[in-house]
Amino acid sequence: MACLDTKTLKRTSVFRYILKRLALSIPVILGVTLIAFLILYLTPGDPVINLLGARSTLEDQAALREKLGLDQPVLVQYGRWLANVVQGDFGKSILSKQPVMNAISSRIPFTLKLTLTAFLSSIVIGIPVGLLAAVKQNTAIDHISMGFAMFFYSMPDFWFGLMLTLLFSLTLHWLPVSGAYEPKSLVLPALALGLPKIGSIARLIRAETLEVMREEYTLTARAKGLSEWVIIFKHVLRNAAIPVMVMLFLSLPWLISGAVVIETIFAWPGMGQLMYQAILRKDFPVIQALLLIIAFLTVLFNLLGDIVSGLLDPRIRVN
Amino acid sequence: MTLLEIKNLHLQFNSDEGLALVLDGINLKVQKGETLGLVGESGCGKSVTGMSILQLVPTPPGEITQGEIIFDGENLLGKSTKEMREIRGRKIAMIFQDPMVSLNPVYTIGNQIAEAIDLHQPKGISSTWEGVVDSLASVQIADPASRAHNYPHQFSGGMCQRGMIAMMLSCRPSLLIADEPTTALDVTVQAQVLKVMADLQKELGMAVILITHNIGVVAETCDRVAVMYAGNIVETADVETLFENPQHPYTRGLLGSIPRADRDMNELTIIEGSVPNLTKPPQGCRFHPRCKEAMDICRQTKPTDLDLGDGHIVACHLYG
Ligand SMILES: Nc1ncnc2c1ncn2[C@@H]1O[C@H](COP(=O)(O)OP(=O)(O)OP(=O)(O)O)[C@@H](O)[C@H]1O
Ligand code: SF4
Ligand SMILES: [Mg+2]
Repeated sequence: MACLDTKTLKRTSVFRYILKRLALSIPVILGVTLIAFLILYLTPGDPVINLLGARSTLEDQAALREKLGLDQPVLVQYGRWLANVVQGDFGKSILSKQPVMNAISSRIPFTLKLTLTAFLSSIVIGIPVGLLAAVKQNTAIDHISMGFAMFFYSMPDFWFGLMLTLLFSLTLHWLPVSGAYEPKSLVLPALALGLPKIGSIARLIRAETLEVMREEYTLTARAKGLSEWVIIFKHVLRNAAIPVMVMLFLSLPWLISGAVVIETIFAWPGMGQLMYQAILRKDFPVIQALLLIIAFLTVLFNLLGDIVSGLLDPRIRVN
Repeated sequence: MTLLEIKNLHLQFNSDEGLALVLDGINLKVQKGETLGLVGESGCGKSVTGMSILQLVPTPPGEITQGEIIFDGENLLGKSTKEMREIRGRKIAMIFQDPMVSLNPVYTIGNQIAEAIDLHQPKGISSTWEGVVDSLASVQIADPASRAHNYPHQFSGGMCQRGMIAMMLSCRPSLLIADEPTTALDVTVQAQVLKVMADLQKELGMAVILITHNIGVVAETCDRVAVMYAGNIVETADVETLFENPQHPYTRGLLGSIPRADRDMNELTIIEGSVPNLTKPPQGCRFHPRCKEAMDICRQTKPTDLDLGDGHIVACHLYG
């Protein structure tokens, strides 16, 4: 009974912790959108001229600017935007004149599909490969897998994307060059985004595993008579995974920003591609909404990272 | 009755600096139920002796090139990895110097004890969990049933070491190798940990190899003592004989260097010179560069073990 009580207690406290963390992240998200607003405002380029063309009359430009609210001081513009967002209104795209959410909502699943594929494969492939390399330290398996890991890890993603296209699409004709018309289309962008991640995770897990194998508690596990399997999978892996998991979740925003480049190269209809187009044309409402979503995802994954590492490591568990 | 006998054991490490002959033909006997102290300066090979028995020395870089380790009539060095696993934790257990890092931080104490019990299935235990609670109770952990749910970081150093003892003794081994079990602990809890160990030893009829720097601990707890120097066992005797009638010049220096029996001997050593580099050990008797009584023969020939009677063994050219 006593055991049950502490468990429910723990659960409610974890729940409260999550709520608290989410509440604390609101100022962060707001800050990100405000800074982005200011940066966009300061960078050259004018959506009105983009829209009307460089030869339009000054009167027409002024009229449109007023209609879009772009004649107001920047903080007023931000305030208006924020007030609308709070009511669930993200405004209309300056270019397409469609509600921003219409354009974005169809794209969210594509980006999630792409980044989560890359993210999960870095766990599912990177961790076993790194672990195997550590267990077989200084053998051919170790050298070969770490050679590949280093190679993938140090490739610039856009270059890597182009090389993959060249090989698998243009030369071998196995996979489509771009777009998202069939399931196979996911393969190349996911590889381009995921392989560098797999490489970095494999290297990290290897280093952590080697370190944990030198820990005294690993010696204890061996002195107890446990088999090498139990030692590696129960005692070593969990300890080695803690810093790697934290790193993985913290680097997710990096993965999302990588998606901007990769989606553009592969014409993958996700948020990244939309972001690229919106930035080129200074489509403020679209950029703002995308940044808000990315900031929110970043905060969410940081929190998930904390929860996962708390689950793995009792020393940092909240109580 | 002899429980363990180490015969002419040679262990070397291959490192960048060359080959280090870390155990240079050691001989050691442990009787059933007795406590044997293993003492000597830092780096003389105490820990690797203990680890060799369980074959826990990492290979590479380590390699046992010669010798036998006879336990219960069988040579452990001839055993397969699988056979060794059945001996580890079940027949021979080992605990280490720093209890705070010897337990896995991400599993509860109870989980880690249960793991040993599940693995070796000792007799006379009705359920794993009961075995866990009993073994924690046997090392004087108050409220063992709920403490078993604690993680190592929720235990103090002394409690961690008692937890280690509980875990390692849960399967009733006949030999415990305790490698400086109290060195990392507060002076106030050292005595308690030693007492817990001694009580369980009596109850289980278990032999203990106690590796220590602390001559005071040796005097209080050991039946016999083996003195190591640079990979050799230079003198073995029962505890009274060794303290009253030390024969080897190194043992005499060691005992003479202790104005207070409860001090760490390394801090107070008055034997001149330092431990040799084992990649280039001195020829003959490894102690000769520091020995005031060194003779010509000491620089050429390694002294052999000589039994002075009553199991008092010394390896020195002054005798025989
Ligand atoms: N894994 C290893 N690789 C290389 N050399 C080692 C290794 N382990 C121990 N040695 C060497 O073996 C020798 C004996 O080491 P050991 O740890 O047994 O000493 P010790 O008597 O236990 O010392 P201490 O009192 O400091 O614990 C030392 O010279 C040490 O450098
Ligand atoms: S053998 Fe010689 S050098 Fe070695 S301890 Fe004896 S007297 Fe000293
Ligand atoms: Mg040692």
